[in-house]
Amino acid sequence: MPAASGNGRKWDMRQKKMKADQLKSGWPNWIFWILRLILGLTFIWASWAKMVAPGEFAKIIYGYGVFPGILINPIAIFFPYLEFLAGVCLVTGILPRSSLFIINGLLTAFIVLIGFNLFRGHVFDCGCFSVSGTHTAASAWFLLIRDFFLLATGIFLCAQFKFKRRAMIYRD
Amino acid sequence: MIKTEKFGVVYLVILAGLLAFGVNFFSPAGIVLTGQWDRSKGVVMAGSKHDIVHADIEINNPLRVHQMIKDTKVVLMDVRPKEIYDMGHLPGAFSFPLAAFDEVLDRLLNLVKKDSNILVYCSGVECTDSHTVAAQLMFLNFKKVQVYAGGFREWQEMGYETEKNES
Repeated sequence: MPAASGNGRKWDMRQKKMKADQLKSGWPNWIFWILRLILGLTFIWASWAKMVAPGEFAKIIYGYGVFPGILINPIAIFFPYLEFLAGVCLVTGILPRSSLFIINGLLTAFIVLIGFNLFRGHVFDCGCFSVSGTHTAASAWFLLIRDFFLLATGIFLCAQFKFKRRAMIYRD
Repeated sequence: MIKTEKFGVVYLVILAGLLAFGVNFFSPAGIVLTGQWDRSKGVVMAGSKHDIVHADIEINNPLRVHQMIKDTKVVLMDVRPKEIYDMGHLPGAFSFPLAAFDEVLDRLLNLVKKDSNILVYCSGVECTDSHTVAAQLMFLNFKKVQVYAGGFREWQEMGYETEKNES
């Protein structure tokens, strides 16, 4: 019995800590869910055209002028599925932190790639949401800004998970 | 859950890899693992597993193409859009835009015999439309179809003469 009451006290303390963590985060839960949905669905949507036409996507990767020829096809085959899985996991809540880690990693890679090509003045087709994109510097800037916003969302969600991490441990 | 999450990235990467390469293997849209991305070797492409056009029908030598045209040994087919063809094309080339292939097919059948030498080209090594048309021609039993890999861009870079359609 004393042990049980000890556990009960610990549980109360944890509940208080959880509430404190949620207060610290300062954001209502529904915002967290909506952002998760937006980011996850964006990745699912973005991956679809690439999964359906890997040949066209490979050509877009070639157009970036960064990757060696031997890696282009494996990248074109693999990455759309990683995007898709990460998106699905983020939306469904299966391995959400891992999927966020992948999404943020991919977004960082996109930003570096797009930024690098803008810096050296290389005209390229993004292939972000379709395999028939545009070829202007203006659209590349738009892509860069959009990816920064998505990355900011991803980092925000990651920070939320840090606050909720303790809650997840107790739930299991 | 946290323990599962510890290796979550690894799980997701492995699962994505299995899914990706598995689906690619069985999908009709699947591509081969190593494409042709060397511009000096001809038209760059991912390479579909079901391609019926291969690199061996490509001519990757503008001097040879120039000589063939000079000797009027080939029927030249420009498969770029008509408005781009009008702005400049190889001398004596006919316009057979890929997008309107079915519409121009009758004209093609009247113009070209099944055993004629046909040379198809588009804008350059990054354009695979010439290969697509070549595949369709071979499907229609045209026996001697070849692709000029360098296309109009290389022809211009070589400084060879071009023709324009004034409208």
